[in-house]
Amino acid sequence: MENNNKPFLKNTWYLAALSSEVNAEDLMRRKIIGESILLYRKEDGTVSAMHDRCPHRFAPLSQGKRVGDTIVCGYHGLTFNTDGDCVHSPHGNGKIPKACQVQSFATSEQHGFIWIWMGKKAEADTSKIMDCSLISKQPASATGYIYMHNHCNYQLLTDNIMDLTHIDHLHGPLINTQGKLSPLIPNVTEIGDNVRVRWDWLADPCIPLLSPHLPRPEDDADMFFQVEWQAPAVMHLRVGAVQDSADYDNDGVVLYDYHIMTPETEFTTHYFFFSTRNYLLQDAEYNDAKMEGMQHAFVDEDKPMIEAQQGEMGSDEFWSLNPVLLSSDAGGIRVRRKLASLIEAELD
Amino acid sequence: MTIDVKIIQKETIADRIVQLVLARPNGRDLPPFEPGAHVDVHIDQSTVRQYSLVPSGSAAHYAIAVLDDPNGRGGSSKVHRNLQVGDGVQISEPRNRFPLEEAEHSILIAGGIGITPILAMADSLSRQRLSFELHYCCRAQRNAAFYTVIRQSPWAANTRFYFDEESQQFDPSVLANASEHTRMYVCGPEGFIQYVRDNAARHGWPEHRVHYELFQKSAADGTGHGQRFQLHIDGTDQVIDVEASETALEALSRSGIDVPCSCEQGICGTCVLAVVEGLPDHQDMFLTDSEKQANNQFTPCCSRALTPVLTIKCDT
Repeated sequence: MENNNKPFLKNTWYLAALSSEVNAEDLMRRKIIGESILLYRKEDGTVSAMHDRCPHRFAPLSQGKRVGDTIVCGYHGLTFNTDGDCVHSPHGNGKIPKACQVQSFATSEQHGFIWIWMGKKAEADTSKIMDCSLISKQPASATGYIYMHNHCNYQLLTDNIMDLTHIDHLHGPLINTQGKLSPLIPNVTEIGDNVRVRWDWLADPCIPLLSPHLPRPEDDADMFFQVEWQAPAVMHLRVGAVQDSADYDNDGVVLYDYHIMTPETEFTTHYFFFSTRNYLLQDAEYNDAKMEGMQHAFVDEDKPMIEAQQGEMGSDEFWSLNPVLLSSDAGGIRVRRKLASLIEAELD
Repeated sequence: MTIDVKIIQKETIADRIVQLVLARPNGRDLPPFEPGAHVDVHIDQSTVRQYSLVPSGSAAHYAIAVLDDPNGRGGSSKVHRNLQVGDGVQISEPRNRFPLEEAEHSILIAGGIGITPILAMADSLSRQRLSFELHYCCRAQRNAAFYTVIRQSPWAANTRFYFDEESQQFDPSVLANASEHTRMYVCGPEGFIQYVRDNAARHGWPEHRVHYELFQKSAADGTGHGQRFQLHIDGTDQVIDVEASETALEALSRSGIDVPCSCEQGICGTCVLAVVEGLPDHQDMFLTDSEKQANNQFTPCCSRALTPVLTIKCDT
């Protein structure tokens, strides 16, 4: 498809893989912002990332083999070290052409996630990674993970999280917000380069996903949704309900979710979802049921709608179609503008 | 969404300043709020005003402090005259356009009744044991709301009072030599904020570390209606009155100037116009904080003016 969208942000951290996806033996290939990336775990346990393409005839290096920390191309036998430098050529007199190099990328592994910096390696600053330590601190019986491969531009998925009023309309009874969100004007604030959007409302009753865990399940409850977005498409969502208190975290029930989108190409996206909570931490059975409910909402409700939306938009850029915007778009639009300005700044 | 509350206390706390304490009729907790947050108070059917929340000491109570300003638009006078203990009023959920951000040190500066959001910030910073200082400027001690509260607070030593009548002028040199990890929060009358911002700029403060909130809002109901003002079209003699009950966009259209628009509620930015002179009262959610602070553009669909005239650029 023709590319009418803005280029991707490069000097930023993308979630490349889960720690568990990159083992000590295998070579893993994953496409990120249109570039094929080879990921493998070095002998010291750290993760190496480089362009998955031999500069000779463009064979994917992931189809070669590992010899120690080096990669031997499976086609004509060039050997590359972890920095992407060619260190051995079996051809002719063995001279290695200067240009025989593969671009390598900075990675950072923390709390079970492997992040990749797609820009200049020297500028990679690990302090800019969103703190997702909460997930790794929780017992397995209170955490869940879903991976989805979506056929749409990643910004449509960001829009979906930044405008949660769609829960009033699109989602089934488990999480449906009964029309309460749409009339609200969301509160949008900027925190540095991050954008936060928040809805507070009186739910009567609370959504069925949370209500059984409140003191009075049938009664009304104060609820909130809060999303904090960080470039490029890393979002921390909190969903809370409380009765007889204003302290959601200690007196209420709260879900702490991460929606992290990594563009695969312009029109396909790796969608990583992680979830934990502050109640029933030891209940693995409940955890399974909860994750199944969420999987259903994402895969059977969000995904078909957003992919159909992309299908309708084709390869046209969002703004070029003159979208009619609503009050609920305040957060999503602020995010689109922030991201666009970061990309602009990078192009200058 | 609105919340029904009852006035459970009304008390004069300084010259022409009353404090109201609000609670749900059933006594249950009110939604939590962040320091700097305000609520819309529906004073009567046609009057909505925004007041910052001050610490009330209870999750079930909100407290606001209201100055009866003879030069105001009358909303606050109605609070003083008409609202009594036991009356029910509607308020909005708390909203925060003036949030605290992480900093190694925070400088809080209040002018007059602008102390209200600043007080909540000081209270919060103190509870989190974070470093801050407060500069509180008033005409005289009798005008200083929360004077005793502050003097008896654990952070009294971090506070300096400046009383005009005692010739104590706020000394802008306190803004000098601030580290890049310091943030500043200013609230008070427009001229006061401008004075502090000018001095901050002079001392090399970048705009993004200077946070401010004007407490005199001309449009308070979020509909784009509010106080009457005028639009002057740059490069022409044309001056258009924007009546209280119409938006700037409607006034322009009435005068034959059609500005392209789409959402008409400050989300999409289609109608943004350049501002050459005057201060816009930004009510939109399209412009970023730094764009709003630059005050060189505004959304006529919902934003208004803090100055009597706004000179704008548009094709006539």
